[in-house]
Amino acid sequence: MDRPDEEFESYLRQFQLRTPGPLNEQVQLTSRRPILRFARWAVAAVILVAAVVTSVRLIRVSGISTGAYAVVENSGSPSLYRNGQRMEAGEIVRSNSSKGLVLRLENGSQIEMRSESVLAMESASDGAQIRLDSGSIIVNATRQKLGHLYVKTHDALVSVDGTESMVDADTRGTRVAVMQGEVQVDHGGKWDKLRSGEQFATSASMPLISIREGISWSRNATLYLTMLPQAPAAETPRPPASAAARQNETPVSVPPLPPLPPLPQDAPAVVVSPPTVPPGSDDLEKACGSCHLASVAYSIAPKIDIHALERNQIELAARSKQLRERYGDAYPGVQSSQSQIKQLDDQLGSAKAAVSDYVLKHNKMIGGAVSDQDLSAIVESIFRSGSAVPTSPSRPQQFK
Amino acid sequence: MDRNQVRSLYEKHSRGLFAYACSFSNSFASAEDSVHQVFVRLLRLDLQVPDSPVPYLYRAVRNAVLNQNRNRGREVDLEDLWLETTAGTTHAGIELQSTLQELPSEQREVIILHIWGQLSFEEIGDALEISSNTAASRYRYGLRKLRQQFQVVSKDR
Repeated sequence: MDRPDEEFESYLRQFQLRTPGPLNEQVQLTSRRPILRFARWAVAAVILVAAVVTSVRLIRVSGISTGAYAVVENSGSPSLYRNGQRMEAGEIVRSNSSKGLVLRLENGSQIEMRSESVLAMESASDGAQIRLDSGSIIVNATRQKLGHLYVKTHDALVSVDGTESMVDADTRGTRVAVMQGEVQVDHGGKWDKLRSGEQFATSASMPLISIREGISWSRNATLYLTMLPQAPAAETPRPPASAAARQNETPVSVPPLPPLPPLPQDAPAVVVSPPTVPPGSDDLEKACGSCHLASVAYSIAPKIDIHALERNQIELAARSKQLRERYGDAYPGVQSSQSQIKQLDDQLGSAKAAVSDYVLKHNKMIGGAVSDQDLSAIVESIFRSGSAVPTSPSRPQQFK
Repeated sequence: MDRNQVRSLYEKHSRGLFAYACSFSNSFASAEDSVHQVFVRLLRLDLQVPDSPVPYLYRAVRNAVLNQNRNRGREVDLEDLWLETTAGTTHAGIELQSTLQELPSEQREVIILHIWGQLSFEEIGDALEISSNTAASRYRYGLRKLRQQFQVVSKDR
């Protein structure tokens, strides 16, 4: 084979054969003649149903009858639009409300428009596309069974199936950021993939701002923050696919548990300087035990935003339930939410364990001066409020 | 041949057989149905399998596809695409599948079996009862013709 043939062979290998379904082994091993008549009717019925389903699918993909329309789900206020208003393909939608506008597509995908954004729905040759003329949108796209969902701007085509992503467009270019899933961006004939926490701009003159900042206008900003990678290890830096700008988001939404501070005798600074404990003085050790422990352990606690973690958990659980009811258990967003809830659980557990370890360790150093009951109260209080110290008979002075 | 033997045959050869079915069919569903139909008949003991079952299976699948093809057109649409495509490659996949249908069947089947069925030329020779050299030769000619035709089709669009 010559070189062009070899290159063409490589090109062909990029396509994969679709995977056939499993073989249905539930067949009669006896003679089929007695059921032949029934089987013929059953086959005819199956073919009829398949034909109907196929027709509907093809119509949907080609957009022949249904078109690529959207329905206003939340018009904001004041607004030119009303909730439930149907926006036909090609019809310009302007989010004139200061709160933006939320649209829903017929396949369940949701588009949140920032104020002062302009778009129109269009049919694509293999699906539907959102033509974003200017402004910012966040697309929560359900996975497409057939065809694709795109966001088209003047210089990019973004395939957003099964993702939650943001697209900004203005005269300088297009910026794409991904909160969840993997999008493909076609810019100048090149395809590039972006994963959660990554963003990309088609032009160097289009500034790459933090994704957190970029999505802060969204009604679901808090939720999207939880979707971004939580730890640096979760992100794999990749070289830019083109001269266009690209970067990974620095994960700071939920801070990881800080390392334990040095032991008290080495610690240069704690929030409250504990009273000096003379060696061998049991009474003094007991007297200042709770305060000393609490003050040192408290130096850890403010760095952990327990309330933010718990709030995120509640929101994720609610969203997961909503997605499950709407799209079923198999929807990627459901699994992803469950995984994030578990991750937050782990973080909460780790945070509590770290505070508890620290308190126990120091109690041991002062000879177990503080009772188990007080220790539990101290740990729980630090963990819950990050500031309050439990009222305890053994605590001699107010913690500041 | 018992159920386990049939299952084993399916696990071992279904990929190649499916690719082979695709070489005759413009329809993913039709190709899939044809392969399943053959194995369902094996399970029902409707077919007597000879000692060397592989060439027999390929012939049976071919016949099943040709039977299904009688009333089908040659136009490829999205539903019928048997190539997996990603966003942005759907058109290329449809063009490729359409262009493959223009090749002589003996070249088309070898290309599909080799590239997507992942069969070696020896395995193709065994399955189609031709020599491995013949399979390789058909592949080479077919690939060149496909490349030339595919380029023409791509330029036209």
